[in-house]
Amino acid sequence: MTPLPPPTLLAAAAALRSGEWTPSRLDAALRNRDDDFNCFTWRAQEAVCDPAGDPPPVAEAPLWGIGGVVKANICVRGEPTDCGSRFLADWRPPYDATVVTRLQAAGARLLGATVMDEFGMGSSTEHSAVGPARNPHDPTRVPGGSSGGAAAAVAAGLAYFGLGSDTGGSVRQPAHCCGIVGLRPTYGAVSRYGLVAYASSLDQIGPLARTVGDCAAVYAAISGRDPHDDTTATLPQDRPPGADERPAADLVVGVPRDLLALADDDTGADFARTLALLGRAGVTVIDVTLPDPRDMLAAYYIVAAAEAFANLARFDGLAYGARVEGSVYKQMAGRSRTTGFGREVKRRILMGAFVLSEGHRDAYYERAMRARHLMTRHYLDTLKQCDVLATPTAPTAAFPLGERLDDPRRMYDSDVFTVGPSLACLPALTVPTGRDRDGLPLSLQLTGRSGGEETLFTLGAVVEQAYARERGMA
Amino acid sequence: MDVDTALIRRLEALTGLACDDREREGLRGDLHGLLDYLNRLEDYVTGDDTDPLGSNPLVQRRADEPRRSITTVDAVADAPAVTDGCFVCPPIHDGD
Repeated sequence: MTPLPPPTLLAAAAALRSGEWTPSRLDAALRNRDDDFNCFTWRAQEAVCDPAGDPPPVAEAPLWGIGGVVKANICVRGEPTDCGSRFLADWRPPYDATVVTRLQAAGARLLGATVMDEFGMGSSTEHSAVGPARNPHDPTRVPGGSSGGAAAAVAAGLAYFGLGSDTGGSVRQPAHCCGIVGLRPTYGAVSRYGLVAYASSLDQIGPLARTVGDCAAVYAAISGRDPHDDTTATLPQDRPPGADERPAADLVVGVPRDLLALADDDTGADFARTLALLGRAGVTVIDVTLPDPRDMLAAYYIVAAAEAFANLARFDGLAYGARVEGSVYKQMAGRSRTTGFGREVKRRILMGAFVLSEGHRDAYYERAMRARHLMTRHYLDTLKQCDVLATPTAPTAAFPLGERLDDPRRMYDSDVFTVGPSLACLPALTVPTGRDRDGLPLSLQLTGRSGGEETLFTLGAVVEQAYARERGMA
Repeated sequence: MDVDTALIRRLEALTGLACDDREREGLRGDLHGLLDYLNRLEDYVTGDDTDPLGSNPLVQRRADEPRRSITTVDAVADAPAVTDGCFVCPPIHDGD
């Protein structure tokens, strides 16, 4: 009987270096598993050959032999990158995203691309031309979105890590639904070169993994300055790893308790239990205030829709994508766009046009941008009182497939706790906690200061270990 | 905010999208509900002291400088129609 592969990325990396596992055996063990949850849009077929000689040094190739997946809006040269859209069903990018180049340089093996809501617009993968993906904990439930296929693949043991993109919560909410770890890095910490844009001032690529340590290892491999993306140029990223690391007992966690009324009973109880565990680990917990998440949700959807309207104007069937012919350019572009885009994308493009249109721009777009500034200031002021903010990641556990598909307002509510850090350009980490009454995963969202990922990993590991002890696993 | 069919048609023209009547009616209802929700920001933003288009305090802007990009061969590789290394599309204006 073939032994099960090591359970975590770090354990697999150690097993490869000790010779307990070879790259070819580990690769086959992952690729031979069935895709029971419709995670993949394409999957690597070629077997890996074992290299002659010793593995490269850890410092040169920290992810040597480790298999991972990327969301289908991250460009992989020559491979289908459909962004969950009929429009790009056959599109193959002419270049690699910087994160793909960096993963390969770190020795990682790309196992495929994963199902997502079209252009990142959704919280369930139901707005996908090839979806939905399904939740490995309960296939009748959504895996979250928009990076739901990547989260499901990691949770189902089909890959050791995934890269998603997070605009308003699209890494953290699927991590929450699938019971894994997900990081939205500080805006600018990871290059967006080769990420198909949805809302450029909000988009960030982030890792999904089974443990905090695994997530940190992938983050270390993909982060840092990139001449192809100058939004990576201004952050203090050149500090050595561990520079911000402080023991958990020195950390202060701020909790905006008045927001918890938006969470369901199981989520609220789980959050209270998690805070108690943090307290037992010596963490100081204080009460703080944050902007009303419903206001943040409104500002987010206005800004994101306006940017989506601009970013998706390029899709006209001329240079790439599915073309529907017409007698003049305008007719061709209109037919191509109308046929190629799904309903949710059309809804957001129309909303974006509305909030930017004459007579409405002041009342919507400019007001939302003012609100974003005020909300960012509020976050930064609050983070002077504490090191990290804690909330649930989402107000409920993974919801049933189809439940919110025809109710965009309810679907958007899935993001009510995640849009704040996005608007404020701050890093946020989702860490699994307990389960709800149906046995579905719940989680904690930790929001840090700009460039404060190390602190998030420190505190995330405390939560992870506390729950592992409760389950008798540590 | 009342969202009527005329507004949806105007937005369609702005976005290069064409909806059928059924789709238009669905989008009308969706947008009506969403815009109603988005109006809650009226109460949040009361002061007028911020520059709505100013850059985020955490993000600086770079100089806009041209750089080398992909080759022409790569650029047209996935185009629906190509002749002699150039994109092919119908005329911009009818009858020209």
